[in-house]
Amino acid sequence: MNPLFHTPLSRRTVLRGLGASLALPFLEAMLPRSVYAAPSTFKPLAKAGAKPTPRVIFCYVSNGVNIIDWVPTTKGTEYELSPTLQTLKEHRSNFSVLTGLGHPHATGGHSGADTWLTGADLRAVPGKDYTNTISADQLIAEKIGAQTRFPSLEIGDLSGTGAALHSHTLSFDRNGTPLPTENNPQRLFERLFVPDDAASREATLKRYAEKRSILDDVLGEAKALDKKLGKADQAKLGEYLASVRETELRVQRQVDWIDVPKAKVESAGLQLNSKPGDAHDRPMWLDVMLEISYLAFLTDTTRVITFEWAREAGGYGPGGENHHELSHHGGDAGMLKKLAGVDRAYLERLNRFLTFLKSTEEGGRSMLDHTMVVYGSGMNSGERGDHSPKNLPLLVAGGGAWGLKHGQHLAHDEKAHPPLANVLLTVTQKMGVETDKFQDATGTLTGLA
Amino acid sequence: MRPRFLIFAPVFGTVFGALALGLMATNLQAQDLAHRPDTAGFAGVVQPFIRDHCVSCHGPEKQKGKLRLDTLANNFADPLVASKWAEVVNSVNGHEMPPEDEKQPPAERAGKFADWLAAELGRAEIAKRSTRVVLRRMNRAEYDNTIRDLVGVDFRPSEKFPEDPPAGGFDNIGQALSISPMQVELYYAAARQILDRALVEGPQPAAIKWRFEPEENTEGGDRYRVKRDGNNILLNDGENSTENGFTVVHHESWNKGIGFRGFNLAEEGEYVIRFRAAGRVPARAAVVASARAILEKRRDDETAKNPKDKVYHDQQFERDLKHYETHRSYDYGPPRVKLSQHLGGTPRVLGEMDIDAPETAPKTYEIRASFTKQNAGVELQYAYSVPRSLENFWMQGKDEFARPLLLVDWIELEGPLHPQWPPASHRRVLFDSLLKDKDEKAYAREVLTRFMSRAYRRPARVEEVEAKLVLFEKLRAEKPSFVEAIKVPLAAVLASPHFLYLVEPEAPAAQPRKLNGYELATRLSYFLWSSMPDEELFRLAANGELLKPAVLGQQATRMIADPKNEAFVKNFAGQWLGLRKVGANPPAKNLYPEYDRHLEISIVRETEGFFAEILRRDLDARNLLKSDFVTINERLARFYGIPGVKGDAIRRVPAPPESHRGGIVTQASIQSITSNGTRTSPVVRGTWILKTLLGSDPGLPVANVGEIASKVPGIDKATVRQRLQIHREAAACARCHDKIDPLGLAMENYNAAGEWRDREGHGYEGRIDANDPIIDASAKMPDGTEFKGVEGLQAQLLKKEDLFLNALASQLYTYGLGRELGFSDRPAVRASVEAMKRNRYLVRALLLTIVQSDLFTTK
Repeated sequence: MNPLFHTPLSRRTVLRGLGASLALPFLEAMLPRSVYAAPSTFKPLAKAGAKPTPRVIFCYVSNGVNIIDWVPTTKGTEYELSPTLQTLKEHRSNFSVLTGLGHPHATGGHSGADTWLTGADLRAVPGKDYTNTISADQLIAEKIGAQTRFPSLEIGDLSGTGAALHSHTLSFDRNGTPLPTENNPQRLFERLFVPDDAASREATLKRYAEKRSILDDVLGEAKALDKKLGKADQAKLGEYLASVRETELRVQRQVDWIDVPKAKVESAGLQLNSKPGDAHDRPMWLDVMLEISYLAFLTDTTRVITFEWAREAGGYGPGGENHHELSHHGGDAGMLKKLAGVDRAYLERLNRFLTFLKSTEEGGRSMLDHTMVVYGSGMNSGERGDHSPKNLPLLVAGGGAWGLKHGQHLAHDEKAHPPLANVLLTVTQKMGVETDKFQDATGTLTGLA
Repeated sequence: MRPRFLIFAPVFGTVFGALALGLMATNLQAQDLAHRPDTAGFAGVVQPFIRDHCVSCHGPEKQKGKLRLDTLANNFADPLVASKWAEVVNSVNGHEMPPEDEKQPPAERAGKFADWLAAELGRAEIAKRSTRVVLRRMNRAEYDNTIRDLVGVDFRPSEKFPEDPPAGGFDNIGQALSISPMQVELYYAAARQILDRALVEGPQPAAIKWRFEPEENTEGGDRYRVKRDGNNILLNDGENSTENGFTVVHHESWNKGIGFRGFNLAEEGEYVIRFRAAGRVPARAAVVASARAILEKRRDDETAKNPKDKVYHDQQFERDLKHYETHRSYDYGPPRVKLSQHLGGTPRVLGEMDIDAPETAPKTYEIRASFTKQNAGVELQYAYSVPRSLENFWMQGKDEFARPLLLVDWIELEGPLHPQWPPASHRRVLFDSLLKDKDEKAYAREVLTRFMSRAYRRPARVEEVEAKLVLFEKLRAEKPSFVEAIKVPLAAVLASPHFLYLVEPEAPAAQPRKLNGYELATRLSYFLWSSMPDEELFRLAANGELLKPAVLGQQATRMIADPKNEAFVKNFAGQWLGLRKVGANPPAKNLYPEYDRHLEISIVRETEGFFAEILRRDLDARNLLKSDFVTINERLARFYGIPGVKGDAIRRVPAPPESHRGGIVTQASIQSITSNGTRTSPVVRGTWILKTLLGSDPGLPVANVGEIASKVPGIDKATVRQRLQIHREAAACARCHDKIDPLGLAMENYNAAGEWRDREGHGYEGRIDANDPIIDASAKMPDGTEFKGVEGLQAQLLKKEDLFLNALASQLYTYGLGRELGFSDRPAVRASVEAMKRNRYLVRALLLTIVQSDLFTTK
């Protein structure tokens, strides 16, 4: 059943009349009669205005890939693109394929998103069924996040944080607490680009002041309580005290940003009503979230983004396929073929995003040269439909201006490989964070930088 | 690289042997507080093995990998030593050691060695655990319930909070419940939101009541507008037909939804959505007749096109018709509706319900929903699922095909609902008082004292109230009203550690002390209600009566009978049995077409209802293992093949023996969470039984061993059992799997969706063909015990009732105390089980001994 695309009043038409920065809320008449989203007509800018800075986006696809069609058979800079990676051929010189890597502590199954950016041993702490540790994006955001309005963005196809071992987010803070994702394009766009009511500046400042008074009050209460507690209880309360103090600092940061206006951005062509859970809308939803990510980088609204394209196990493929079932292919040729189709369809979305970045000039180079794109999965369905955490499908694109080397296949022995954390450490350093430690990293990844 | 730990003792090796009871129930003394080394086992098992198989590389001469084993101490209490032993276990279990080119130990000997080490590691780990209850943060469910009981607004503010990290299988374990800056932000935002909803000002907002007749839409579909209170609303009747003023929906489709959207309400708050509807449910004969007509036409059309293939078309016709005549799916239940709300572009399912009213007597159905002023919509969708099987998928959407029809008369939106003004939540917090209009500050003090004494679950101290009053006075001048100003200190109360944590102060390093009345009331209410104490508990806490065991017992009995105890069933049984995992990895649609949303909801309700039935009707706890009844609704009755159950309510009915149902292990919820979405997993099922019902954890597999092979050479239709057999042929695997898999293999008659089967389907999309292999559900444990099928398994489990009751009691203690158990807790667990057995095996009796135990009443 093919839904018809009606032609409603285009957003561009309306925006021309109203001035570009006034974008939302949307008018009913603009909704197509069908409830489905139409293909995006978004166009990237030819030139970016902001000063080039390092940025990174981590893109996660669930349920692994058809690894047979993914891994190139040849190595090094002369390698030949694999059938699946052919999809990205126009960007061959701007990305590296990394194979054979994995997190040594990862346990497989569908917990890949939980550890993809953390590398944690989820069962490391006795007495807890699950503990995670800080993810690379949050480590970066801690260090450089204060320079942008949003230290980081978290996007996912199911909003919120999900459940342990089936995480809906890639991002975990310093305490290992998952950070909720946004899945609604319209809400995300509003948060990033729609200006707050100018008249409310005073009210906002008052609100922050009030919040600080309340935090001060509970902090006082907690300190008094602390004196009455035993050691174990004090340790628990210590987490509370530290969290309240940190929250006070964040309020201060919000106050610091209040007089800086949000970037003005046109929403023309963006399919902000795309729904992630709808088989028809899947590609449009992926596109619009990547378009918003592009705009967020372009305007220096944030420099760090994590984006879980689909959740593990239950997730949809880009066309609404039952991706999870295909991942249990058991070596079945027909299912592997379908799986490769899903993989290519995903890479087409990525290809489009890379093309946007590539076509936008920024300080004499392309935006892609300044933006690192890490793409992959935390699961490998192998040749038999395993759910293994080894030999993960992974590629890194962009960031040439910061010294990332591309156009190569860095093949590793899956039985004796450097930890995946080395890739994360490489990216973390290129983002300007001075550290030589991340999780179990033994250094940066040889050959990537 | 650090090894993955096999943390818990693999007592499974002896589960069906005589030793198990000894280890679980009788051998341990109360003074076993610290880990004491097992010197005999070390000398008898470990040292000889090391001498024979390890010492040449890890001994005095060589220390490969910097590891020397002949001098590694029998001291599992030392974390560094323990981590080295753990590495040894993993490398032996994983077949990494001894290396391939060295002399290999007999599998049995290696097994004994690894099992002994793993058991010691487990014992040491448990001995290390703190047996003190630690300061515990409310989890999400507790937060919501507490807000409901404290403030009187019930809208699940915790929906935005991250999931609470579990320990020991439960998400109410103080040690694991951490807090992050983000959570402080969320608690703060929730506090503001809660108070804005609870406290009001000004006159009662005008209510609206909009009624829509879908058939008023004369243009059809989604293109007709009606006006209501200044809103230009899209009224959609779907691509449906109309009969006598009723819109008739035949099946679910993107263009069949009925609803109205594109409006902005002037007031936010709680609304009710009502609709008048009925169902028309065709009997089997009508289904067959409709199918026959469609199939005949297809047969005739095909035959006209290809006359020489007539015989095949005739055969196909007969085959397909038989499907409609025989398959249980066509004993239709009433049509079903899914009601959704759209707010600011985000859809949200409000609920689903059966439309059980007949056409002769349509009924009004309703559901409540919160609306904001955002652009909104309401949609009503047909939600009865006829499984899309091969025989019917192409004709499901045809209107001639008989399905349960949904008839909708009208839809209505009314609200905001305020049975009284100001609402009850407002009156509860800002109660009437002589001071109210006389002395603002004195009234604020009165309000805060009362609110804090309930929020902190104990009388608020004067200095605490005065500190909040300072906050009130500080902001009073810049606030337009008393109500706005009092919200500030009230928000601080809801962000306070005294509210967010269950606080039980202790003198440092003191011996365990008796809880005071308030602390005990709090433990009790969070155990049995997942919420704060009510007025009666507070009263008994204040006068000290609650400290009397008899009164405590009476209160627990009262609380179990209270509707709020539903939270206990959901949170305890839901986590103990793993019901929260239902749907996380659902059976694939094409392989298990009968597994639909209605079934998924029903299987969870079945198991919850089963536990509740046994608890509240005072039935023998062994019914959990095997019962002669089931707790089902019509949807499940159809799935299980049990006749005579009508309606969506879960109720107790006798289980006919041929249904193979009765007891937790026969329930579809358990069958589906122990499968991987595409096939059954006997390993997961066996592990589930060991952990959940027998209280022993077989640990994690030593390495990722991957998916079992999809094909077995030489066998045309290899069953899961045969595929698993290949995997187990490796001696290292067999050692553990011999103890795990038989338990799961006995359940092979249930497929991955929990449906009973006699054969394993190997046809297209998992269909069962005539020659497919018959299920072999026989099982043989390592000790030689043999049994067959789920009934055999249940008989074995009943023989191990002490293991089961110990497991149940341990889980209840863990949940009730909010901490994991250590060795020193075992006598208490055992005593509770004994008391329960003396008292007709009642779960309620078990709960009473727990709340009256020293563990529960001291800190």
